[in-house]
Amino acid sequence: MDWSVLLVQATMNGLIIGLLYLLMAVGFTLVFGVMRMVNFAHGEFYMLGAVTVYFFTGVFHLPFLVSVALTFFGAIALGALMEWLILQPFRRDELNGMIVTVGLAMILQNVALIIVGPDPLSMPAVAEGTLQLGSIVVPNSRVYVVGFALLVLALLYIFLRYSRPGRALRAVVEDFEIASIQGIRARIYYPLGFGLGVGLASIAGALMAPIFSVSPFVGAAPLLKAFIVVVLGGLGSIPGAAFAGLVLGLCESYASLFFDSSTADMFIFAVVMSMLVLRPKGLLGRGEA
Amino acid sequence: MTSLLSNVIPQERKNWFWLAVLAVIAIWPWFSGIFVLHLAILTCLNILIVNGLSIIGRCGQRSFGHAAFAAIGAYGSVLLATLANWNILLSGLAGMVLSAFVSFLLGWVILRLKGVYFVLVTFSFGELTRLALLDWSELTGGANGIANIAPATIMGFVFDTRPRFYGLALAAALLSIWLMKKLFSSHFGHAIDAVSDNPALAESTGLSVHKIQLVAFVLGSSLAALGGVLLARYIGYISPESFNTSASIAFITMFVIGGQRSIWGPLVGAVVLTPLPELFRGAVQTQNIFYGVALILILRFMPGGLVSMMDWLKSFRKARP
Amino acid sequence: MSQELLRVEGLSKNFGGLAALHNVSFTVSSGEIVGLIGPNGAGKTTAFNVISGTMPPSAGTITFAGKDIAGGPPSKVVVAGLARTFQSTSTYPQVSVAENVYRGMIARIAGTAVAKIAGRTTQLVAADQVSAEIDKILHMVDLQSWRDVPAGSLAYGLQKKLGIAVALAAQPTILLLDEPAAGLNHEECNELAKLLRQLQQQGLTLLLVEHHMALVMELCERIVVLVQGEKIAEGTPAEIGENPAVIEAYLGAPDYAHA
Repeated sequence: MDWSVLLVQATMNGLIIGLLYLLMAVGFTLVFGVMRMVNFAHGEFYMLGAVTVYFFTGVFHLPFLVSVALTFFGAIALGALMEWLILQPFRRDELNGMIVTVGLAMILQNVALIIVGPDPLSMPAVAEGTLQLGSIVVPNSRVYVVGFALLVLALLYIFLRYSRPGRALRAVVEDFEIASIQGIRARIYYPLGFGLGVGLASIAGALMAPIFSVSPFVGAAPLLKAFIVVVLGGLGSIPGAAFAGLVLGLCESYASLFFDSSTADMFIFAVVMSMLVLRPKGLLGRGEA
Repeated sequence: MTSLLSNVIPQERKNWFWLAVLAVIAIWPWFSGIFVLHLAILTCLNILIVNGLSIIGRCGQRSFGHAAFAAIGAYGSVLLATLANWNILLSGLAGMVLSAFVSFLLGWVILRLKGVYFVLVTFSFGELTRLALLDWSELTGGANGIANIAPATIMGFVFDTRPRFYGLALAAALLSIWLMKKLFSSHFGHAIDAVSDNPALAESTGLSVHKIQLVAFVLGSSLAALGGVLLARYIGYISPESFNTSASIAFITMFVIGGQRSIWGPLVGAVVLTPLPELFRGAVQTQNIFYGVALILILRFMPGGLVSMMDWLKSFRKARP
Repeated sequence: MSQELLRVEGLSKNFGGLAALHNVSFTVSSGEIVGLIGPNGAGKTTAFNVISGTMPPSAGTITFAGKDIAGGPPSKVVVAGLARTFQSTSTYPQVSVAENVYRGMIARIAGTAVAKIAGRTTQLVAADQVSAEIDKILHMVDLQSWRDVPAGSLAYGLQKKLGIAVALAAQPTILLLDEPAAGLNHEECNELAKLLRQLQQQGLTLLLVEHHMALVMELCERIVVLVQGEKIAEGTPAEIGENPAVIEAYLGAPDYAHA
């Protein structure tokens, strides 16, 4: 087979995966930036997004875009509520708060198992047909997914950059102490940060549901990836998470052309450990070690 | 005999009632069926491993990769037993030494990280170990693991039945509890607490925070390794999935629910959580939801763990006229 | 009797582009009480941090009892006989006063690492002695009636005294006190002065960083003045009180001197 075709195909796949990692990682770093807490339940929100979208489209027969939007806002609301109800007492106790998110993850996954069962479900296709780009063939469904993902990112960018709550949120993420001195109120921004963070995870799950399968177990891998990306990009850096997400997606895609996956995975974890020890701020981040 | 400075340092007072209860619980499995023995053995091994985790925890660090050291102990000792034909005592010791060596190197580098960062690094280390075990399949058997592990034989006595192995596991668990008691009433134990309460102050009084944390980390990881060594000889089979992230998280769960700041925490955590699957009889999901809820409730309302509830009960009994 | 105990020579410390300390030199002789004063930002606490080994100097030497102690780590410096207290209260709030003092002793009494872990030999030998020593120290700082009280529940002034007690537990030959009078009222201040004099009589050498001028003038035999990281004067309280450079740095020093 022609190398250039393989390469372009790998690039396309890499970008799609990269977008997924980006969404997961930005959400994860948002939660870390606002709450200084590692959210071990992040993967389960991805899973919830996938399962919810499956129900909306498969059972209630709503259009895909509507389902995704509902999932997104539902997740934000659910996340904010959980932060307010469950995580609030741990706002100054990140270590125990982290263990609480472990408990949360257990609950979410097993509730899903009870409702949906362990077997993978496949979603009805988002769109039929394929798109021809030169010698590359891309299924339309993937095109739609990429399109929606880019739309979400654009909206997120506008929110974080141009809206007051968005800018305040960024301020909290980028420098927590200065933000609290300036009186940005924790009462609003903790639930908002957590809600938006897990909302992004849910949207990643929702968007990827048509591409990958849907089951209560799909959350574990994205959690690991989010975590890797965020460390590489810098805990607490939104642009770092975005950049590192795309880079990781592309690297993995190219690497799969040459290496087998477990060697690549080991290498990545070794890099993660080294980063945490040598440069916890990540490649671009500015968070304190 | 009371331990050092008992009237200066508040000690956990021996309550003969509770000791009697423990003795009954410890002996009962020998008079019950095979299944109770099975649970009891697993509980004892969990006690051993979680005691190790609690030594690390007392320094103020949470290790989310503790199972990796159980894996190193297990695989190390099994491979040496098969390849070099060493008996359990030698191979088990070697497994622990290997684990101590790895934890020494790792700890040297990562212990200066605080809180969340230490969690992330140990979590990564756990994953890295699992992937390495999967990848080096000529040595480790990869995903298939190593089967047909010979039972432990000490001086001719073969621990190949459950009642016999329970004796071994119980001895190991009791040894680890004795070690904890000794350790935390010693100067070094108080130094560990000092280091976790106020590291800057401890350092300024001459205690080397780095050295103390390192010794605690190596000690704690070695206990996990011993647990792995014994687990391998009991189940007769090990694979990378026996020591994955879920196992590390299970240990943390037992540690937290039992009691993070008490010598008896790991015991209580292991005793309560290991047999629990039985109560739920196959409704694994409900059981896990219960774990998650229990974890959150304990952290929220009883951060000292179940052990602190017992203290509360004890004081209540004493207060009554 | 007045042999040199601590010698600081050419000490400099830079943070990025900022010179917190520049070419500072002074000595402290055995049995002296020396004061280190200066306006805010003069580098006094930095000097303490460097001398006690919390951070390495950028240049210069620190010689204690003939040994070079620059670079620390703090634990090694303490074992050599130099202890310090901190500006903010330095105690272990969740445990008792007695336990606090005990923890200050562990490095000294626990011997080698192996003995530390085993805990056994030192334990049996020292049990009563340790308890007696804790009592002696508590008596010295007048905290014995709070022996079993959690340190965090003590009043501020008492917590500061406990901080001194913890430092004393290491049986230092020289004690560095970082603003021991900060936040104390008049009566507590007098008690502090009395305590410090007692400690001097028992052979301890003291180096104080303080803002409370009256205390410094009353207590110290010699004073070293730092302004913006440099030493501008050194001498007896009388000499310092009349030194024009010092007066200028403090704007109104004469009032303090007569307080």
